[in-house]
Amino acid sequence: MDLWPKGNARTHAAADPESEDFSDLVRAHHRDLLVYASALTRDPATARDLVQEAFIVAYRKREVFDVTRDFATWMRGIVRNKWREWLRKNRRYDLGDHELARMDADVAAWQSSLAQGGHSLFDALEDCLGRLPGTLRETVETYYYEGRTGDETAAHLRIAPAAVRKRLQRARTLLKQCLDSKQGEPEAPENA
Amino acid sequence: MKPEPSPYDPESASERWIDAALSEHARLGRDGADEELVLRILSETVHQRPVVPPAPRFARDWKTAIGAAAAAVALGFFAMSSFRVGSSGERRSGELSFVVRVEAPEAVGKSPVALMTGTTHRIDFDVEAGSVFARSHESVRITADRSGTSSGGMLYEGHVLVECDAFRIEAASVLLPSRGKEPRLLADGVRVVRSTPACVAEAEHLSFDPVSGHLVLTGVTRVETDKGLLASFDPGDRLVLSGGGFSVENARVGRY
Repeated sequence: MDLWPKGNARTHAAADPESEDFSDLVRAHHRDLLVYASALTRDPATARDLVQEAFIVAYRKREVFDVTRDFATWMRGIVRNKWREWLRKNRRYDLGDHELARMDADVAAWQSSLAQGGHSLFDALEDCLGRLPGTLRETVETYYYEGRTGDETAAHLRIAPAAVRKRLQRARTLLKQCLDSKQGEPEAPENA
Repeated sequence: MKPEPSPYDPESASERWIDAALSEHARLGRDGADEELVLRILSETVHQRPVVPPAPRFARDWKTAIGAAAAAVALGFFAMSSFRVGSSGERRSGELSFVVRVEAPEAVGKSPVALMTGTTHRIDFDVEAGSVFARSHESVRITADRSGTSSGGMLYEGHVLVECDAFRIEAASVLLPSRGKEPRLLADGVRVVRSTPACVAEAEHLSFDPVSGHLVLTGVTRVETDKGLLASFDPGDRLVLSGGGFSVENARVGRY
């Protein structure tokens, strides 16, 4: 009996189909779940721990998983529960129910889009980054992709820290709008 | 996303999500996977060996969970810490933890028990008071159901787990050779998990050279990496795993 829905990426034949399916699911979903967990916790190491724990819980509860349900939704629920457990010990980055629901909807929309053959989140993000105005893009690249702190970014770009804050905020808002507009778009064929 | 709160942090939930996406995209790239995380998950799920219930005899004999022992080899000696006694409800396993400092050859030349000389490292070794093996500046942990001395050295048996930064080795038995013998960790019935680059290998025998950090596997049954599965090996093939990759040395000699 198939206990798992089929993952997006089958890499090789394995002796144990159930294990193989679960491995595929880990590979297919861990990145979106990492983004989700990182947004919840605001701590990359904790986010990875939560995603790991969530997959372990899912594997141990595989007998009760309803294969007619959406695996990504189920996993987000487990990550969310793990995050709430973590929050009980660390309340620095709490989110209200409304904000949590909005974030959950964002992630769900992208997972649904990908499942229907649309862009992955990171595909779309790269495209949207290319559409940012130059000053915003260089600020994002310096802060996120070169790994500088906000103050280092300000010094590097020779602008005030307040300007960095404003640019990052503006860039994130534009990226969100761009990503929203790209949801459901079919993925462009390679070399097109 | 930065781990510590800062005035540059996003404010709304949507901004937080974009912030997280940018951070993970910067870390993983467009199509990259977090191989370390994937391997951590798989090693705790589909690659985890089933837990065998303890036999009653050992439940009586092994009430102890053996605690940490630290071995410092800097000046030619090492010290082990004391055993720690656990409750009978805990997993009946012995656990020894060694932290070994490996010095440059000239410094270890003063050591009275120096046994092995590598090109850059030298390791002191004494199994009369315990057992030590290490790669340079690496912490190694051994967990087993039981341990004892044999003619060959210190023998660990039953769900043996050897953990260090680069590898995790599960084995039916592990032998740490006694003084005067070639200082290599030997194991039978092994399964090796390497996190980066991701690799899982199963074999009948393993030899670990602490100086080179190479694992040599023979009687290999399967090797799984992120690129796929290899399961066709000749009995004499040797699989050499190192920190950066692996190679298969074929023992078959052709006639030309």
